Amino acid sequence: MAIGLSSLVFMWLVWFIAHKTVKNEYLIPSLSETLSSMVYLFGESFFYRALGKTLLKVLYSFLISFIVSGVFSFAGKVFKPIRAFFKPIISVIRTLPTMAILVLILIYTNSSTAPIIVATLVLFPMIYAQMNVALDSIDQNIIDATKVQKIGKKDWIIKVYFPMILPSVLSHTGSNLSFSVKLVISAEVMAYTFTSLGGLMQSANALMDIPRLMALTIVAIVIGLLIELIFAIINRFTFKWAKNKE
Amino acid sequence: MKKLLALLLTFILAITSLSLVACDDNKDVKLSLYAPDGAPALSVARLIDDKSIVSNVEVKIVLANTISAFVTGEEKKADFAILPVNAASKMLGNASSYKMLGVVTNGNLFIMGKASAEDINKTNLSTLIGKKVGVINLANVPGLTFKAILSENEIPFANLVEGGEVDASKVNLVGLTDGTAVTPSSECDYFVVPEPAATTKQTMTSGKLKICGSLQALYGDGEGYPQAVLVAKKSVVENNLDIVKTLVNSFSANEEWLKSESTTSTQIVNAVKSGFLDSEMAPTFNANNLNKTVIENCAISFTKASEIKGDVLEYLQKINGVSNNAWGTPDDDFFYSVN
Repeated sequence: MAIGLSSLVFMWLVWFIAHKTVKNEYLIPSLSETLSSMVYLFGESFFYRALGKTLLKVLYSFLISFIVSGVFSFAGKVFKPIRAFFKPIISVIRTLPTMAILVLILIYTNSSTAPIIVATLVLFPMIYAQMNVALDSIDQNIIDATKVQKIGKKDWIIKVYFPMILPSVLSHTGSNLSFSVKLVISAEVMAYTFTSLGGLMQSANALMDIPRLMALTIVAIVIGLLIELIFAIINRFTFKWAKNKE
Repeated sequence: MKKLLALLLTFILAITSLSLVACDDNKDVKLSLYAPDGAPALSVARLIDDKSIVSNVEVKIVLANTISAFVTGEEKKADFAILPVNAASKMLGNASSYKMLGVVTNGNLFIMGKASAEDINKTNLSTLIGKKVGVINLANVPGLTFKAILSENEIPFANLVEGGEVDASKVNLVGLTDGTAVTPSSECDYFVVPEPAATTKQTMTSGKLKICGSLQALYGDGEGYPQAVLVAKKSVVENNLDIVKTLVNSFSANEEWLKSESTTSTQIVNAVKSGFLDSEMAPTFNANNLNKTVIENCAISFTKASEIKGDVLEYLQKINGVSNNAWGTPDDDFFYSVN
């Protein structure tokens, strides 16, 4: 706790020094101006609608990535040729310059859907790789034991693989969701999504309201941190059996 | 007698030396002019092409969204700057650091529609009601100017929220990030597009998208609106007025040079590029999208502050009216009269 607080103090100090060094309110506003802008922001009903829509997009993109990754990684574990088939496809998706093709995505969808697609395209290969690593790290003795007991493939997946990889997957979920916040908001800024945190940032920038832009940025950061904290707590108090085993 | 002559000659020598020192001071003065890429950069292209025109002023072309960094902060890098009139009003309007010398560009926004779209003029603006109009940079000058025009003509409008229903009783405004979203297959019926994108789109789509209106013709008396302004540091105006006058007086010749048949697009593009502060910056204009029509459409024409003050204040009042007074009103002191 003390280390966390000192870290926050350090970041504030960096901001303070940057503000005093740059001496330009249009580049780095003061903390006091930013905080008062934040108070004003919290009083706007539109802010909460925008926040809600952004968080929904974060959730959608994560769920889509998680489910599709789960399907492909389990399928690849059970049937090896599937994993080999998808390997180059995953590499292409991973290296695709997503922000660059955002405009193309916008032409075929809309400014609400495009950020979800962009975030999913980035998250999916990440979560897929994490699940593959988790599946590959399952103790071979356990797998041999299931073979001896002649457990069916369906039970393999549901009663063996899934519970075994869940601690590892859960440990990454917080950071994945937090990363998704960043992706979705960036895409919203570029897609000019009106009712969204990204859209609010775009407007603040256009109106040269830099304290408001900074306040929105801090809100985005805090959301990411809160998500990571929640999952860190969940992770700490669950799957004690996995940790005891280690 | 000899002593008197010697004294006289010494006196003359001293005076001459002093005047030469003064000349040297002026010769050594190096001032900077920062302008954003795009139409404002065109307005000063001749000064980059021929540095002897205003030898004391070095022109630097920067990314449009970074211009504010050069006129704000404790150390304001720009001695002169060209920037959007709304930004100038908001950041510099209190006249504490900069004075406005004049308006440089007078609007370069066009209404585009699909091949079958009706042309839009002052008499049939209501045609846009119930339609979706995609506006590049809705939150800034393009969107503000368009909203001001609609508001002035009592045409109701609203921002179309993603996933929302089109309101048949209003002009539905859709924010677009850039020109890539302006396509014949778009769901939008009309678009507000700046040059050079407007002419390029018309050419590249073989007329499937066409220019069917102009915000310059729709605004006020149809003579355009003040879009970008030239400002100078107060200290520069006070201490280097002769350089200020030379610069201001060069603009009309700049316009003629741009429009002259002997000045090629390549020459203009190369001039602007050689003034880039960041040589890796992607230029707005190239030999393919810059021609005399585009130059004409960029409405580059300098008008002194004293002559255009009323128009500037009126424009700011109108865009403030559609943006919760986001841009403020500049002080009277902000407008500097260069005689």
